[in-house]
Amino acid sequence: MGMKNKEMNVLVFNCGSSSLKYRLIKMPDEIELAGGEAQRIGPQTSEPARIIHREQGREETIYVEMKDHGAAFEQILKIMEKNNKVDIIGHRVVHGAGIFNNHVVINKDAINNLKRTENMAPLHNPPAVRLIEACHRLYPEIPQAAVFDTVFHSTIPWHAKTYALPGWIKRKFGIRKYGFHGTSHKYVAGEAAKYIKKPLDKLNAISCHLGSGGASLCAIINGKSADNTMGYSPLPGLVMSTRSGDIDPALVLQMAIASDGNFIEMEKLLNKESGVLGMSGISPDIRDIFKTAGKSGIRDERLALTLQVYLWRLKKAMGSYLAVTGVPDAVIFTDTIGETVPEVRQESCAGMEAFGIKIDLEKNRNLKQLPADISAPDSEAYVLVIATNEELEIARTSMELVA
Amino acid sequence: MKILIIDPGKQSLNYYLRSEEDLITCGRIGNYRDNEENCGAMNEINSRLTYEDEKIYPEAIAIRVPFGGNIFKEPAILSGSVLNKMKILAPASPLHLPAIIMLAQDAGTMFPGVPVVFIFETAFFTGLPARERNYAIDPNAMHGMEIQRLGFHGILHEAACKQINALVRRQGGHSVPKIISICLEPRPEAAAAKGIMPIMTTGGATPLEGLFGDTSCGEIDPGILIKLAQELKWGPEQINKVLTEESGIEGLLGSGVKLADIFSSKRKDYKLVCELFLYKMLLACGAAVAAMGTLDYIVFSGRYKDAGKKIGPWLVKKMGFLRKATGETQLTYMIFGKQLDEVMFETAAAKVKEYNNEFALTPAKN
Repeated sequence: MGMKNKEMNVLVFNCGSSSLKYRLIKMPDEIELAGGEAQRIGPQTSEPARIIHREQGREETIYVEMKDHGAAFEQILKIMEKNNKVDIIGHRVVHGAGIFNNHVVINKDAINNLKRTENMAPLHNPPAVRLIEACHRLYPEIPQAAVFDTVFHSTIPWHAKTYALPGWIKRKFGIRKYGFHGTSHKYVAGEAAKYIKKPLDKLNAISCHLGSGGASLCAIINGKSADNTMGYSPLPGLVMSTRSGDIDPALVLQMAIASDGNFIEMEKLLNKESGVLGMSGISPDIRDIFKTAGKSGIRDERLALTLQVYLWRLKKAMGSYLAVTGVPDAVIFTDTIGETVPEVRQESCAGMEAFGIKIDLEKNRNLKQLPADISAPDSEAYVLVIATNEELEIARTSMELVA
Repeated sequence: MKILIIDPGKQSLNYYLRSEEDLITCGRIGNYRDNEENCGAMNEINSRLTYEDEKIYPEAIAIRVPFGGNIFKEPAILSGSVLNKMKILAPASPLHLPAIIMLAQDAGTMFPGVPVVFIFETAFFTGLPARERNYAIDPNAMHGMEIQRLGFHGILHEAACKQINALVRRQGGHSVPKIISICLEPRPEAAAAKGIMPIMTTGGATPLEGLFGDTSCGEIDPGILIKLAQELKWGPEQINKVLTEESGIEGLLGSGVKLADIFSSKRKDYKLVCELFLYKMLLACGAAVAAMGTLDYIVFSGRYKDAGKKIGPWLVKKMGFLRKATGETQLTYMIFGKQLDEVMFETAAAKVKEYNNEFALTPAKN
């Protein structure tokens, strides 16, 4: 039996600034053994730090102090090892920052290089890097891998990743399109290829990762990322829960002038107070807007506009990428909104027959289980709804790397 | 009819004196704002309005106005109320409107009784649907600014779309043509229109958004602006200068290279930039098709319109996969041959005629 077929338990970490999500996945069977989330890591807050742990259908909350992500990791490992062993640890790292064009097995060199990525993704990468350091220090015998969201997009060609800015600025700050949500786009592309029984390296698709927070589209040609609506940062592209998506750059400058050149304020406004929340004024979640629109009196006009702009931007981005792929093998909807909101799928696919895309309204409304094909019989492309599983993709990648 | 056409830029202005058939004279006035007192620029233009040593007097004056907000949906003839509306809009376009108001007032003084027609680049786009006009930002966080996508080459887009509509009618077609109009100017812009109804544009609240141009960056990740401000400690003005004057083709290839050059050269580095431009164009066209549901015509206009002879066949080939319903027109590209001054002449002449007819019909007061 080769290493790749050997049974191994992969502990996958997805690190937030004050939280740590984890899942233990038995490979190669791909069975989830346990999972959970450490919350309120760091300095004491109004609520106590805790770990919500799920295993064998039970959920328990363990209150324990965790001064940093390393401490959280130690606690999680203690809980985990009561019933299971951990053979490999896989870490989600958001940004490879052009330093990592491939996922990597963790060693001292890799940690040093990971530290160099922190400046490029100051919000996302530092906690993951601290965690990786702690894991490596405390359990050097457990092999670890870093799996980057940006690696899937390293195949984006020059003409799609280049900004028309002066060369010195791009070189100095590594400015180009990096793309994000790569782990999810890669996972659903693989699942779509299986579903339609086509080799992944022949698959042309548009992957719509529509999360309740972030969202991006990916053009996939021959199984590889050809473009992504996010860019140098996760800010541009579609309308997101609190992010503006695409916006006229001169407008950002005008707003900065109006706020006395305060770019920190701009960053906050565009990342945290725009998108669905900024437009609607009531909620960052587009599901709430669907529920409330038409029932909220004076706010109705604003809510209707929020829905229109959200759906319009999605449709236009789909059109852009369909021009790149031609009639695709599949359009894939995934993540919270993509999987659970039929109105979003219906509206974004309406009137797209020119691209060979047509959905069956009945199938779309009455989804029973995933994956599912919601295309109409006369649609040339499959329209698939696939539940994303980034942790499983990280487990697969970690297993491949380490084994 | 002889019409003096004025096309004011940020620093210099171009003028053209035209009749229906001919361009009689034209020229450029640099730094026209340096001499705003005593009708400086208009005086200078007036002194040059001669043909074979003979003084020529315009019968109308047309001024191109880059920004008319949501107020001006069609050309307008200079009057007190029109000027007042333009003054209200001026803070939203501080680089253009105050100077244009001054020019128009000078023209009125210098050529009494000669109608002055304002032709707005944004008028065509005032019909854009709300879903296209709006950005995903909090309307209350905008410091009182009204922020909407407006588009910026409406005069040429409208004329090019009208010509295609006329062509379809001449050919006996009954359906409304679905058009992508690509204006190849130093800041290029692609717009989608059903007939002459605008549906989408790559232009934004300012001409910076969308396709990159001779010196402008086009659409970029707003996160980059924040990075530049934080790392280089640059203010908005400094960043704006780089994005508008040192980016685009200039930023990619170096000084002095224009959009037209990259499509007429065989240089390898130019070809790379062509690839980049074509790709951005393809994305815009895909979005336009999604917005309209189908596509019949692509039309190129603007001073670099001849580059359309290279871009057009490429786009038609790339978009050749589009499925057509029975009876729909096969995808075709065309070049709109008229220049901006010719289009402005026709627009101004029609407006003056309409104005004169209206005036003739006004009942005499007792």
